[in-house]
Amino acid sequence: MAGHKIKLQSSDGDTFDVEVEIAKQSATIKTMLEDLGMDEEEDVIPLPNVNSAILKKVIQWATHHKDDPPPPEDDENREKNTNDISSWDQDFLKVDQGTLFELILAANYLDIKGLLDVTCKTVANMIKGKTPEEIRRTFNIKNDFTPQEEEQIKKENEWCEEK
Amino acid sequence: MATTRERYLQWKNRLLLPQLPIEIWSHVFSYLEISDLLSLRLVSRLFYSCANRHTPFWLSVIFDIDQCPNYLIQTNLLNNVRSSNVNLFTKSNLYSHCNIYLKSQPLISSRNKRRKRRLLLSQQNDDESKRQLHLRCSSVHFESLRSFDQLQLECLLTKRVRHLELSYECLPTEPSLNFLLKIERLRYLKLIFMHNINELDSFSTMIINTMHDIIILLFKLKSKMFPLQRALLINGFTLFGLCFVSFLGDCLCFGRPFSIYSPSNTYVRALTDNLTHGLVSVFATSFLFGWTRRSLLIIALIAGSFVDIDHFIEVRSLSLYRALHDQPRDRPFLHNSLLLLIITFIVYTIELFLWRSQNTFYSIVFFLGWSTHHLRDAQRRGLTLSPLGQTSPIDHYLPIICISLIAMKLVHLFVFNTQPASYILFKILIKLKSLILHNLNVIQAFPDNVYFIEHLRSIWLEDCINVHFLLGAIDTRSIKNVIVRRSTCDRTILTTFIGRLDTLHYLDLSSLQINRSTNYNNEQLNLPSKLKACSLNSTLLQFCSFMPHISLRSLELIDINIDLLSIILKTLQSLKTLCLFFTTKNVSLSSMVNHLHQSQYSQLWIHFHILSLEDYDEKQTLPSNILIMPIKNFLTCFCYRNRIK
Repeated sequence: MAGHKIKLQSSDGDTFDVEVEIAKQSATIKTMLEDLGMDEEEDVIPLPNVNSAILKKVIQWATHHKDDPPPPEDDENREKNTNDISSWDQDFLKVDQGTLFELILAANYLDIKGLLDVTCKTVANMIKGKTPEEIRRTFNIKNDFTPQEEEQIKKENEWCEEK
Repeated sequence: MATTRERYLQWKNRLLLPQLPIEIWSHVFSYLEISDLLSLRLVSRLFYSCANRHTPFWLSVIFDIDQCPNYLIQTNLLNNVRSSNVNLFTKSNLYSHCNIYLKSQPLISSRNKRRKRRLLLSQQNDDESKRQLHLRCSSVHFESLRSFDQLQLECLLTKRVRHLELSYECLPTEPSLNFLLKIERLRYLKLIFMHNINELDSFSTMIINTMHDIIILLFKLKSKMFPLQRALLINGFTLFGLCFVSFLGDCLCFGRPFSIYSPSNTYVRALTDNLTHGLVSVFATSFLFGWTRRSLLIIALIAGSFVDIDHFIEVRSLSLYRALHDQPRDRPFLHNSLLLLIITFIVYTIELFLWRSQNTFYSIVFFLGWSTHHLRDAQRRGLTLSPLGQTSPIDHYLPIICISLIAMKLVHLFVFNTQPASYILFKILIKLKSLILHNLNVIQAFPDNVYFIEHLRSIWLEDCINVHFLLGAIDTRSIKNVIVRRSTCDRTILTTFIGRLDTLHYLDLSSLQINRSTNYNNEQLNLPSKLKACSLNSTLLQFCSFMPHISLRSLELIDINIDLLSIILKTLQSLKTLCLFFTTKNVSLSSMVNHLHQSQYSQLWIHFHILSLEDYDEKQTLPSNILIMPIKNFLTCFCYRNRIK
């Protein structure tokens, strides 16, 4: 059924026409379609957790990646690499941090493994090589350790050695 | 420099950041390395607990117990411990929470072994300490064995230790490795030889001889039998399971001897009855042959339930109703015990004469299947022995089955057996699975009659010289992973060794050097048929024959040229991932990319690993399945380490 389209509705009420094959990259939408049955052409799938701006980006990503081979199976046996993000994805993810986090949440909700992986890799790259204080500033996290606890963890870290 | 307003906006923007749930953080953290996880642990409580619980942090660091004198570790997830220090017998019990309890113990320097053992025993008089003398963690690394002695090691390393890593300096002052034979559950052994052999003088010959002796010692790490009690327990449970299943089946299908619940649907009842027949046969088979051979158990299930087909054959219809109600008065032919007994006997005789050497038990499994079925049916109708007639119904068929099974087991054990009786009676406890050796130097072959540790799954040899002497002595029956790096090997032995590995899944020969052997021949390296991932360098590629292969998924090739690559891609249709490494500067990378792009390999993930990214600057034209990245420290992209563990 090439070219068959469905409507996706964002949290602020806008609807988007998307080809079924593109939308099916999201495991959530795929299950929804299979559970509801695909006969009714006018079905609108409501996505209450995703706003218009983010949904637009997700659709843009899914459209670009519609012909990708499925991700390799034996995942845990491969080294987790963070520098294998393709150049298109790198450009695509040059957004502010709020949007990036919203994209992660949307990818998690829609269950799009490729998008979740690539966004999480981007966040992991933001953490790499930073001091704890820098990480706190980047992600706006409050230091909730007592000074003693902090001292203990520092010692623990000293006695740990990479294998 | 940012203006105040910009900084205010950045601050405001950060305040509005959505909060990510912990499972997403743990997904993000799974991409980080240990050095980053270390600083993450200092960020906040959420990150600390997330890094501890949801990442492999504690699995991948070594905690140095020598350094933490009086300190309570907050986590009980500690898995790896390293020690170089005999004074680790400290007085404090602070380590109990991290699975290690070390008792205060003075160093005993007596030379007399018996006296030393007595001294050690006298110190563990109270029960409490007896239990907790040893290291209570599953994985132990020793930096050096110099300060330990044989007996201390035996006490320290007991049942729990599954992973053991140690370096051995091959000095006469070091304890011998005999203690390895005492560690019952050792699964993973990494042995690093520390030496510096440049030329063969008398001293290095001595070291090489020591290494040779240690390898011979490793040969003795054979599989162990279950202890007697455990074997009896397992057999008892199997018999109990048989009785229970058959009892339950009787109650459900015929409401006898107790009627608990009886399904009204005839189909369900027929299925339950048949399943009970099958399961009884499976239990009987496993009582005789053990639970390990799955194919036998499946055959047993079929043998137990096929008998009822004759009801349908007799009425020539597939309808269950007709099979139940239109039966002729005589029992159908497959329910004739005499007929089946004769068939079994003939098959058994043929089997005995034709396949004497192999242990084929199919006729016995067949016999167990139908005989249990007939005996269970006999409680209603008796056994049919036409043309001789029919016996009266047998009420207590379970004791008959049990007693005859035990009798068969004993007969099987003591009459028909060429192997030691215990071999069949007690299942084998599979022991060492992975063996990793570093810096091994061998100059002579091992005696032919010793085999390597049986049931070894993985072998990893790194920086070893003349690996082929060792390869020849390896038991190849269940090896799944072979990694040989930076070592030298003879070509002929390598090709025959790889050819024998029928069960191999992972093969890494990325940095193997080939010795030009004296008996040089043109034998080709054939990839084993079950291989899934493989890594080959340019030397090996020269004599590797690429036959069409159906299970190979991932391939790593080092310094390959475009012609060979196109041949490989045409033959290996099952490939999903291809990693190409280039260790030289001047590579015609763009032509190769163009070739791959034009040849429509869009279903294949392709990684190019090159020395530096500056060599290639046309990134924009890349299709999305091709990635170019710089080589890190290893010429490898797959993570074999997890496989080995």
